[in-house]
Amino acid sequence: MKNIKSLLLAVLTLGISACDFDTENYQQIPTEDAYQSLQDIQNGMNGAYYAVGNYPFLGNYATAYGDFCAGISNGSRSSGHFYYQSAWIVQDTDSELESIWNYGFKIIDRCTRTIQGGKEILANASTLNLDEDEIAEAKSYISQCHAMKALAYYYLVNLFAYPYQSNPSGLGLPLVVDEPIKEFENIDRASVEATYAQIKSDIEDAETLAEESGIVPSAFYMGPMAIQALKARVYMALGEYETAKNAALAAIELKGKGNGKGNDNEPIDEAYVSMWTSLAITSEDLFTIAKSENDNLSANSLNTLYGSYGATFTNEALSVFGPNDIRTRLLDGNTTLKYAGLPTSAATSNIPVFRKSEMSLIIAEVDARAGRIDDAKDYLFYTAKRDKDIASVDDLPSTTEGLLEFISDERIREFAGEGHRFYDARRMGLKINIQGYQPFDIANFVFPIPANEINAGFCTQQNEGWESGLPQR
Amino acid sequence: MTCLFIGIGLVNAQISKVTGVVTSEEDGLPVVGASVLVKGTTQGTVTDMDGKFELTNVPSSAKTLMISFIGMRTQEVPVSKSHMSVVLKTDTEMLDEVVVTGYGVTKKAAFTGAATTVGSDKIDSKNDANPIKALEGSVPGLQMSVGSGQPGAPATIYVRGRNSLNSGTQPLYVVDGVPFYADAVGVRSSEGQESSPLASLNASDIESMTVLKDATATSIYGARAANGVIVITTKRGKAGKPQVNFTAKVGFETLPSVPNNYKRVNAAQHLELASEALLNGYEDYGTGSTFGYYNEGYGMGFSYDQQGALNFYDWYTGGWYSNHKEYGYDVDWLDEVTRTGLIQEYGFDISGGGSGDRSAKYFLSMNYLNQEGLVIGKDLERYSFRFNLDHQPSKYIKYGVNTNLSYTETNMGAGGGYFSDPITMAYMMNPLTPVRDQNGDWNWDTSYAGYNPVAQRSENGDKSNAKNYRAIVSPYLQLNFSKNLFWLTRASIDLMIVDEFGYWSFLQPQGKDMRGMGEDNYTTNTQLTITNTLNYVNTFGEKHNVNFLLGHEGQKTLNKSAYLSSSNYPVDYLNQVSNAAVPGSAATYKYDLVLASFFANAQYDYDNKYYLSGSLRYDASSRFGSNHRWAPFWSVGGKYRISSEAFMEGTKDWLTNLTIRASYGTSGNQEVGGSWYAARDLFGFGWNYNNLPGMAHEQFGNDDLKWEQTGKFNVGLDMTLFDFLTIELDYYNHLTKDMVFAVPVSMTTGLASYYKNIGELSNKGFEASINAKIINTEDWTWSVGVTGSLNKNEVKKLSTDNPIEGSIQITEVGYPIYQYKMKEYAGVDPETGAALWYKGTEGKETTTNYNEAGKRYLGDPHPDLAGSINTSLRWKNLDFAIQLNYSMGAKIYGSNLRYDEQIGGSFYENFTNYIYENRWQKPGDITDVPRLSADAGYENSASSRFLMDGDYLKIRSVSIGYTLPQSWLGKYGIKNCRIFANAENLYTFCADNYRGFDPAGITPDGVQWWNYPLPRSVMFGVNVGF
Repeated sequence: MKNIKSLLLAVLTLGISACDFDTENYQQIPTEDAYQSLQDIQNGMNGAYYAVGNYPFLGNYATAYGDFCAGISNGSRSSGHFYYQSAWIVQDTDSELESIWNYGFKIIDRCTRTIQGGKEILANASTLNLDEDEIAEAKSYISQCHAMKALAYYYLVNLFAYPYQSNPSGLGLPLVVDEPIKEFENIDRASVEATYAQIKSDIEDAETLAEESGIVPSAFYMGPMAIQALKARVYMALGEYETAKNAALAAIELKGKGNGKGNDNEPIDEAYVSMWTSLAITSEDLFTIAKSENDNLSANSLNTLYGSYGATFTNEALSVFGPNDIRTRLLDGNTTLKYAGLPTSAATSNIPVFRKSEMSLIIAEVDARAGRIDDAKDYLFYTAKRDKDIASVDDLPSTTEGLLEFISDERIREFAGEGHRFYDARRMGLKINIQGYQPFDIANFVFPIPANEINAGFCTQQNEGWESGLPQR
Repeated sequence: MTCLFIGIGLVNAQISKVTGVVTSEEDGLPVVGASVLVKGTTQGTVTDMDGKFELTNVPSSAKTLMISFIGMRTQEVPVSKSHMSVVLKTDTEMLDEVVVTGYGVTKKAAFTGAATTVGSDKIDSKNDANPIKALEGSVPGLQMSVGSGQPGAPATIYVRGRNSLNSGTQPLYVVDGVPFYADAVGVRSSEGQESSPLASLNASDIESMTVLKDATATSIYGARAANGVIVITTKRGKAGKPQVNFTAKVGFETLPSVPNNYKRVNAAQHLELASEALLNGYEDYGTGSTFGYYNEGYGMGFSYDQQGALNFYDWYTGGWYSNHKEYGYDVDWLDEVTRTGLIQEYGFDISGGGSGDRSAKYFLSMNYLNQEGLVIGKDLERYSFRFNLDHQPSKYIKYGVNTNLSYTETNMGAGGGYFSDPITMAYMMNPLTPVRDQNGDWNWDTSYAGYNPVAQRSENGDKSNAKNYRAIVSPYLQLNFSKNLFWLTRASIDLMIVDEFGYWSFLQPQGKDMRGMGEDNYTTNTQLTITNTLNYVNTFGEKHNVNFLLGHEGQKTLNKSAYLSSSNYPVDYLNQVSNAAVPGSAATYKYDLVLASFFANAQYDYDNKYYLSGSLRYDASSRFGSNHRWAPFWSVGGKYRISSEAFMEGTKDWLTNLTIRASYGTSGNQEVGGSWYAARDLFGFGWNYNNLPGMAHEQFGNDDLKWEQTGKFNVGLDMTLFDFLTIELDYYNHLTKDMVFAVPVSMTTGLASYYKNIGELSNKGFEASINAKIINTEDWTWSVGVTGSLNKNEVKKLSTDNPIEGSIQITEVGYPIYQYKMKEYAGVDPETGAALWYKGTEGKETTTNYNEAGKRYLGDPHPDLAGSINTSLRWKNLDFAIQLNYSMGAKIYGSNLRYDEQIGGSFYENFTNYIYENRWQKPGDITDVPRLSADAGYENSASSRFLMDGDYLKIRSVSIGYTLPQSWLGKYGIKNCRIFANAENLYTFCADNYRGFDPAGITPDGVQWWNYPLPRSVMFGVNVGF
């Protein structure tokens, strides 16, 4: 009996001692421990880059909407992918729209947390024994986070709010300023103007910190030249053309590969065509999302969308290409080869966000609007000469209107498939031709805030009446 | 004179000796250890190893002997002076009399809860590798949805309705007193590539399966029992000579008959429809149509008539029409990707138990199963071994061990809706495109360039292989302190290793793009359990029976997995990852889970008439937030055997049993949150960019996160009439509170949801089960049983006032979890053939503009009534049994039909018969299939055009057997031999408007995809016992 009693005791103790309910987590860390060192700031920044390049945002959807909802690309009915978008069947329950909203704010949240964590670490630089190089690194990371935050807000405000130049006091986006938004916090949408003020402020912070840091990362990151490129695009949207031009010029200079004018041959035509099937940084890249063979979007990539999912360009888009334009070598019948991928991995392509060509076109447009026709033609010739039928600047229009019209078409030739058209056309107030519909006043259209955001109950202002902006048959 | 009487009396009181032998009717063997009692006295003995008994001192006034043995019907025989020969019959009813419940066995007569037991005869006669599927239809209140008929595929089980929206919904599985890890495994399970660990169980090892439903039955399992508990008991050895059984089964499985309106059309019909669609498109849009645009644009000059359309078709597809004319291509792709799968099963078991109570009793079995699926490339192979030992060396100690080792290998492959699924592809492919071209090479010029489902599943094609190694060892030790008090400790280690290998071959576009991609995932799941119970059973004053139980349980689960992948192979016929040139990803993961509990159970009954029971349990789990670590659960139940009352004497001849029972209690669901760490606020890694690590905020923490709790109320009535008709009726009302919701938060927080205990859900229903033993003689037995259940599910509270809305379904307060809400189709305009929908959310006005249609509530996928009808018949040595399953009132939405029933817009894909036979062709046609057009618009958008009735009557299983007569076998030493045939899923009668494979083969949300069809299988076998 005594043996039995001790056996019982042993078993019982064994049973109960096995119980430590705070089980170890081998993969994750508690939020309060997230930002303790310099490495953490870089980790947080990379987490934000991941979201920028993932398929719900610029990796696919936010880019694709730029073409499929602007009369450039058509989704295939049989695969169903992006068919509804190009057919203008839009609902506030669309999952792609929701993903864009979701991921845009993930970028903003990750950047805000990293900026906040990074600033705390900088404040404790002496206790953490950070030397000058490390402080510079920290500032570079925080600068990039400001830049990505501005980038995300720029895309979101252009999809979910009316253009700045139409109605700056209209509903913009909810703003995440210094602190991440807490769960169950009610949040209102700020005006478009206030949203752009936030974007401008983030760009400014990015510029200042980048300068203090002195570090210049590669084109896969939002370093100084990417910040200037973003600034150029944003100020164009604001209608502050001279500032935009100066930023574009700064971007080209920081890139250091040519001056972006008519006689600039970097990249040469061969390199221009072949750069799409390589992951190397080229003279065009100001900020490009890096992908690799073991980190590609596979079935969710733009490669697959234009590949086995059968997306094509519209006839309207194809019709602006001249027969001797080298950019037709990036077309395969009626689809694009920009996302043909690598020979070893067809789903892997880098995704360019800012290219040097865009800077030249911005400068050309600003000059055209200001009446500086010769300057405009010079910068316009940089991209226009890719159409071999345009032998010299004399083949370009010589009036502001003619130039703006040419620039609109040139942007299609240059950026078809890269998701620019929706944003360009809205900014420029153009009417889009879509087969089967009347000319579409795209600046008068806005996407609805996703239903799940409204139904969550904390940010409840919808874009009332958005349906009336849809294209009419 | 008195002396004489006294003398006679003395003579009468003379001691006499009674001898005899007791044998079993079933096998003729002696029954060892049978109890032989002189009725009315305490005198008795027990039969020996040869079944013989000898009673001395038997008073001559004794008239009757009572012979009894567990599992056999007690017999009363008159005392005889000569050597007696008693034959005991096996009592299959005995099975009903014992309920395996929480941590013990209770006589059904004393059990106050609601439970249904299914015996080995029903389990053994099924053909599927997963023995749980034998419960389909047999258990009232248990709804089984088998979304895939693939060998080894999991089934979704809801006991009394779906009990939770976001947390675990599957019942707890307990095998021989030990929780059994049953979650489906598969690194690509989100794509439908998963197998169920329950398929590693050998059906012929199973003695019985009991489904515990109400609070009394389930509360004792605490925080894992809200969804019900399924208790499986395996066979054990019995005292006596060793018995050996061999079984061999061979059979096949095939695609069951496809309803006519879901079949695909052939080449000639396809061309007819395609050309009609082209011409109709031209009629509508002229040069804006596909036909017109390319015809004019490229100056082809085809005429606008049928021949011209065919020529255009030929030009557009690059020669499919002329190839068909020249080579006669007319491919039935579903035929090409399916086959008649061979199924074989061989097994033997040996059990025995020596001569007396003190010898060890054992059961050992081995089994081999090889099941080729009806879809080429999908199959399952299993080896399993079991050894159960029980030994009671003294009256104080009993011990034993259950060992189960199994190896299960399945070849899976992506599920429905994926381009790599053969069934999906069979519906996308065009009959005009051959499997191989004229050179004998694979043809890649198909509806989806680069996809050829036959090639993808050929020898050098894709691989998706999972090897599941399982070892479960559970020893137990029982200490009997006295005849009323005993202690039981049961420990168990359940080790499961799943080794999966996947390969995307060169024979499909994504694999080709990567020049082959190979991946390997290795998961080890170890579950350690220890249970200690102290049990006190006693009877006071002959009428008061008590049973107390005190217990403790601890469980720890450790899960570790490793994954690697690589791409770019040098050759296309070797797929080991070492050959691949470009490493992909490599990762290891580790997770831990800890549970602990304390529980108590008390049962009291008075005179087998009044029963009372109660239980209490405390559970703690590492999943819960730190503020609510310990979860309490309790139950009370009562039972009243009305028929035992004195005032019911008069009914005794027709009312054998009338009992009413009721219970109320709580049980919990601890599978809350998305992971074992759901209560914590966490940052995670893996958000990498440009080959550098990245981190991000992954989840909000909630220290208040706790279990979901279901309050269960049950009232039931059990009746037995005329000794042959048994009726069981139950009404239940379950309310789940604190349902965990991923409460939507504003996405401006960076995340989309926050786990909170906030919702409420109710399930109410009736269950009925009627069994009639119509004939029960020596030569004939015939019994019929009917079950039916209806469940009404209702969402009572969501996390916000807003519903959760999808494109065709909505989860809303006041409606069931799955409620269809979609635009309502109004058929086709008889004059124009245009599709019509009802405008707005009310009223009968129709519109041809899809965007003007409003969503309406159109039924739900839950049946109004479902159950089974079964009958079994025996004539001498022949036996026959059939089970029919039925379901009424459910609706099924065919998401796949939006693609399969295309009306011309999906140019390369095929059409179905339904379209061919029902399309609108001329004014005056009344139909629901719109006019064909190659330039179709919204006709195939989501609407009730694809909502169908899910009513069915299915011939679920039929089995026929013949037991060879004893006389033939005796001389060979064979004790019994039965030859049999079992057929499953022979035919399903479904609604007229049903288009699909099988209305019973759908996931519980009622949305049909290209589900792998439930196979029709027939097996022939022989069972020999020595």
